[in-house]
Amino acid sequence: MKKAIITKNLTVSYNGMSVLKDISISINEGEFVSILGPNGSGKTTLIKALTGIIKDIKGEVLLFGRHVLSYRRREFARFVSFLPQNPPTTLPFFVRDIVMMGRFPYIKRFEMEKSHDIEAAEYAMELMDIRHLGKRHLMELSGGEVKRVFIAQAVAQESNILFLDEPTANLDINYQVEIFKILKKFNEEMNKTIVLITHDVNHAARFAQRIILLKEGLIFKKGKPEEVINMKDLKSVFDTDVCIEYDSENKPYILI
Amino acid sequence: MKILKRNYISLILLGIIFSLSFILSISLGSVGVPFKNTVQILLAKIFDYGMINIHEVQYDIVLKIRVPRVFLGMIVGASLSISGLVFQAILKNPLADPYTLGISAGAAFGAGLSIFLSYILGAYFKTLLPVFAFIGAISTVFLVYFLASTKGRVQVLTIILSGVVVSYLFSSGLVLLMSLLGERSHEVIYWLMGSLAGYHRFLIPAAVINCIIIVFTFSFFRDLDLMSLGDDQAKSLGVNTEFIRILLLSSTSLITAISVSLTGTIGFVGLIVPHSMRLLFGPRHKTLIPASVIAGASFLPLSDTLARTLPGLLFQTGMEIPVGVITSIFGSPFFIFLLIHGKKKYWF
Repeated sequence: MKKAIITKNLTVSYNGMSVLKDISISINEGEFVSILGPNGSGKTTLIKALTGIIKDIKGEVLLFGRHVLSYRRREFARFVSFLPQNPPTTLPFFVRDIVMMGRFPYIKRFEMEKSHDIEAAEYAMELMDIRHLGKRHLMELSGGEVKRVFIAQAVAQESNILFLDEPTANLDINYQVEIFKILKKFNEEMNKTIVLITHDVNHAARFAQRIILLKEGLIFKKGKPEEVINMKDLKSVFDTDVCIEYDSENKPYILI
Repeated sequence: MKILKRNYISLILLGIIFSLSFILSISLGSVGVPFKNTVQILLAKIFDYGMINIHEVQYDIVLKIRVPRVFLGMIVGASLSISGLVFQAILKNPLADPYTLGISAGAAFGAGLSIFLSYILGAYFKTLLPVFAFIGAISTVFLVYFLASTKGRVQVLTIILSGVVVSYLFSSGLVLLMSLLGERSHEVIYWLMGSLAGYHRFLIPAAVINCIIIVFTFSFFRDLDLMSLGDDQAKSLGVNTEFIRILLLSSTSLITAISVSLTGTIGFVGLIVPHSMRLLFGPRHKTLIPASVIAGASFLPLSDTLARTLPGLLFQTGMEIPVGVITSIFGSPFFIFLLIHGKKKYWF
């Protein structure tokens, strides 16, 4: 199986303080991986290092066998998309224009959008159920709608790897499940590699094939959900007592 | 689709305003030329069918005095507008204008220096004023970049702060020059207020460079849209934000420096025009850039026409008001009106 992401001893420091220490992970193409961990454990920093947004890194980060910083941004954007935690909400762009921005890496400087670009944007809007919002301004939408618009933007990018930083924060529960289902479908039917940060242990356990549990910048544990989600490890990472049950598919879920 | 249509109609309207302002600015002045004659003279010149049956004085006024002046106004107006637009977008600061990097202070110091030297070493130096102003303006840009960059990267806030610091440095230098000049410093003051009256001999090279850079900047309209989403998102969508920031700030600084060195510091254009266009056309730079260019190229010549004709109308004198005064007097209330009127649609 092809390796999509490999890191070897990745270390990131801000002003001499290490935020990530010796991270070595390997993610296959087509995997669904969830990053869990308390606030300040380095989840966002890890994703930003993997997407080349943080450049000041030590150690190796390889995406499809090439060092992450050796890519040109436009080239990189064709197979890696990243949805940041707090997308802007106050811009008066039309929803349609925002989604169309996902096609930027494919459109040459002096060219117009081609029909495939329009199709890709429309498909993404259809998928995220925001087609009816196309002619609305971003600033008029609710927080959850904005989130869906930006996920649609990342979908329109047609990349192999999707990084998402808390895609379901601020969403109603129906959309939380919906988004995870769409991502799962994406992952299974189109072989997209998905790496996402979430605070919801249950979503992570139910949808991800593997979980990376971070604590204070170190990998505390990584593995299949049933290996990582247990009372002892969650207690030492989150400092909270949880009760673990198993659903009909034998996936663990927690009760607080 | 409706919005798109409205945008096209607005752009066409802007085009009409632009053409009218062109004819108006050429016709009006201390000596008026009838509109019909202006058009005829221009057509005769363009299509080269020699002298026509119009008084020769009008012919000279239009072609030798007014056209270069209006043309300078168009180039400078367009350059300042697009520079303001780019600065606001890239520095993500609604108060950014083409002079944020200290270009005006640097140019003013250069201009002051040439006036100062003309009194010590000979009048020759005054003819070099635009060259001095240009060197002053460009050196400030380099100095600001040097101060703001760490490890080859430039932070937005640092760049604004270094701009302020460098501006103060050059302003104090200018004040020193003015105190040395004593009573003769009025020339510097006049230059500071901006005028389209002089230095038409640099017009052609300036026009060529500025037009090329305006077209160049336009080709980055998608990058500018994406950068309004924030750096992280723009990067992950494929924009090399660090490179584009330096590239576009440099290119627009160049056309601002050229403009300032020819006309002095004309304020407000780089603020009013882009912001008005945002309120009218929304956030997409594909329309914003051409709209700002056309609006700037109409606004400055019209302001200059007022500067030339108002004193005559009000006080029967041949004096001119500096055009910078007009852009401020008419610009700021217009800006306030737009802010109140369009508050709902405003976003910065």
